[in-house]
Amino acid sequence: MTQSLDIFLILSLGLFAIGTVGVLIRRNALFVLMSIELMLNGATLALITFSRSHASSPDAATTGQVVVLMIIAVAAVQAAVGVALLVALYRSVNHIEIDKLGELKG
Amino acid sequence: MQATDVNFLRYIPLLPLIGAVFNGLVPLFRGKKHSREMASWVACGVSAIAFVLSLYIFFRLTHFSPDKRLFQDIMGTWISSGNLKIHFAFRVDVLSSVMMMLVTGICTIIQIYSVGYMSEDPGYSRYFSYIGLFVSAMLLLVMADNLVLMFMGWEGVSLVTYLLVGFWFTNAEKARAGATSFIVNRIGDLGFLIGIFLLFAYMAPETGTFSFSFRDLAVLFTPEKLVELTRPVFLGFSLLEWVGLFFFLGIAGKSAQLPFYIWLPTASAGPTPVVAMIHAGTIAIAGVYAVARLHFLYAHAPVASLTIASVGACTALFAAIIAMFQYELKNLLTFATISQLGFMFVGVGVGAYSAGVFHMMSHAFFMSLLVLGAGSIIVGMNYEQDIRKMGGLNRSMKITYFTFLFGTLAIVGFPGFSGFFSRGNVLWMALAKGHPFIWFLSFLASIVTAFYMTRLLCLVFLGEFRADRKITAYLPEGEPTESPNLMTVPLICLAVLALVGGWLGISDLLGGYIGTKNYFYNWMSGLFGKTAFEGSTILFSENVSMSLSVMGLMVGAGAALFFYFTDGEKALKMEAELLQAETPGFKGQMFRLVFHKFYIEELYHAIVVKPVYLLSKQGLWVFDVLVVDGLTKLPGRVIHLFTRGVTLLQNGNVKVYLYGMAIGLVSLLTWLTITSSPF
Repeated sequence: MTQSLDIFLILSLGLFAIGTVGVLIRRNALFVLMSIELMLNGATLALITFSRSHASSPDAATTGQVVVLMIIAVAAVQAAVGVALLVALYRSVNHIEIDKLGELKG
Repeated sequence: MQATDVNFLRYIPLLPLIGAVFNGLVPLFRGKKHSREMASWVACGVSAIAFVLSLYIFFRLTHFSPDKRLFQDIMGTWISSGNLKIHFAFRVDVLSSVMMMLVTGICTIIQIYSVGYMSEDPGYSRYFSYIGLFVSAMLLLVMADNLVLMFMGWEGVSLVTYLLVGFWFTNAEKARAGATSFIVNRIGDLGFLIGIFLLFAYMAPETGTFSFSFRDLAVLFTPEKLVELTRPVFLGFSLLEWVGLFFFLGIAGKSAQLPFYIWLPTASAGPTPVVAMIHAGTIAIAGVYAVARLHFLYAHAPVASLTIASVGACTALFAAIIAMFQYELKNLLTFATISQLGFMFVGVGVGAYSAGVFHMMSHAFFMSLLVLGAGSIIVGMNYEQDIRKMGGLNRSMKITYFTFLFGTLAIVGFPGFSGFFSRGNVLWMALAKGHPFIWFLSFLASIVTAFYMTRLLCLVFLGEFRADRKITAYLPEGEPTESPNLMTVPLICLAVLALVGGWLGISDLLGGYIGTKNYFYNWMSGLFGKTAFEGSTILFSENVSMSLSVMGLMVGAGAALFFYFTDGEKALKMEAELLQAETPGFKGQMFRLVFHKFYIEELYHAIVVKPVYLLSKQGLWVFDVLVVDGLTKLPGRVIHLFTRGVTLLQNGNVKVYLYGMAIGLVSLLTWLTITSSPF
């Protein structure tokens, strides 16, 4: 069990890093949103890994799994809101290039 | 004189004000369409209530004996500073009560007319809101207990004139006309203010308070004080003369006398009912009222009074001559108004205050009738104003024709109509008080009046219809149509008033035959006192004045009938020939001089408007840009200088924020790892 923990954590770090880079370099807001989901999944994977490895009993490990399921549900809701915002944005300015959205400067 | 407290006086000027605010706000909540009908009901309603209240006040006044005809409503202290203590108070005496009825009555009739005239206008509620303000300001002016409160109404009417003349403000020319009327009034009002200051500087007693109240002022004119006040102080004139002359500057500005008259013709850019209101019901007659109100002052200022009478007589003749050969309907009537205002000033200037106010009253009737009639014609002619293109309207617009005929008969002084009695009184008084030259100028003016009004009547209503295809194309069946009832009924009311209004002031000579008294004069004598005359001279001068006036009317009207009744086409052709610049000879030059109004507007433009523009463009503009703008912008510049670095952080680019977050997070984690590591 202990050897496999590193693999899971490296996978989760990889997902998170890919997500971060995606958020930073993509121009299209839709891809930015997808990258954010990716980051979230990375973090969730780390969570469930730790819950499995640190659990005193198999029953206790399910607590972490339930929390992760809830996180996925919340993420779906949040994605729906995000995409709805993008649709509204597209209707008003006819594009979703975040580089071109610079009106909120001080 | 003892005053009775009547504490609802305050509601008379307040009601139209509430109506004005209501009409100004309602379109915001209910939308334009719904507020239209409401605006007309509210506006006419509050004016009508104010009129009824004025009537009630008048009839209550009649129950008192002449020395107790004074109502007051003191609402509290308005300004209190040192020994200066000005009340916010209304006071109604015999003069104010007549003015209140006149203002509210005429304005109510004009508002009812406006409902018909303005029905298509998009700014309907705004119009009635302004009109309500107009009535309210004018009531404040006539009901004010002191000079300072009166000045507030005085400024109020010029403000509303500006708003209403520039009512169609999207048209630059009309907006500018509003500004002209405002600026010219400002110049005169400076004189009025100086008059108030002089009164305060020299009249305020050493002990006790000074209130500017008309009644208190009159009381301060004690024989001892008068000796001091009538002593020459500057350039050989006494203080009272100077005060009177400065007041007259403001009065001449309001009532469009020489040399300030130019704002009234430009004011005809406003909607026609507004023009009627300005000419007959509000601002233009305010000046005459002010002289009558300050009669206790002018009675001791003979030079100032003579100046008023002379300026009045000159204006009456000058404006009448200009009106002789005008072609624009409203423009012509404007000069008629200026001329009639001149007659009123002759009346109040020679000391016959009651005669001047009486002529103001009959003027209000016939002039509002004529201007509203002109509005009816203009609507019937699809907004054509040139009288050369009218003619023969008596067939298509019968009611307008007959009412206009009544107005014309009244203004030319046809025996039996109001103008005959009121202007007859003024002329007779000028002669009886020993001013034959002023009488002569006014007499000439009344002859010219008969000429131009008869010419107008003939050209508009008689003869053939002269409109060209451009106009008839827009008229149903090529003929003008009579206006709706909402417009003709007010005309009929005013026509009746123009006839019977004069019967209140039939002078003793004529009244002796038919058994009436000079009711108006008797009513006013409660304030102005009775004029003492030698019995024989007064009757003689009235005989002479009246018979000469009737002869003058026959001469003036006869000349106009000779040219324009028999063959209007030919007369117009002759005028057109004279108007040509090539036509040589004295006759042509004189005609063009009169047609171009003696080039006074051009003169004003050259000596006042252009230098002011030049000064502001060359001199003050540089100062404005460099110093005023520079000082304003300086703090902004300095702050901007200091904050430039910080503003880079808020550049609106989300990526930059994200990079900042990522770099910050990584640095923080790295630092934490390094500091907490066991190595």
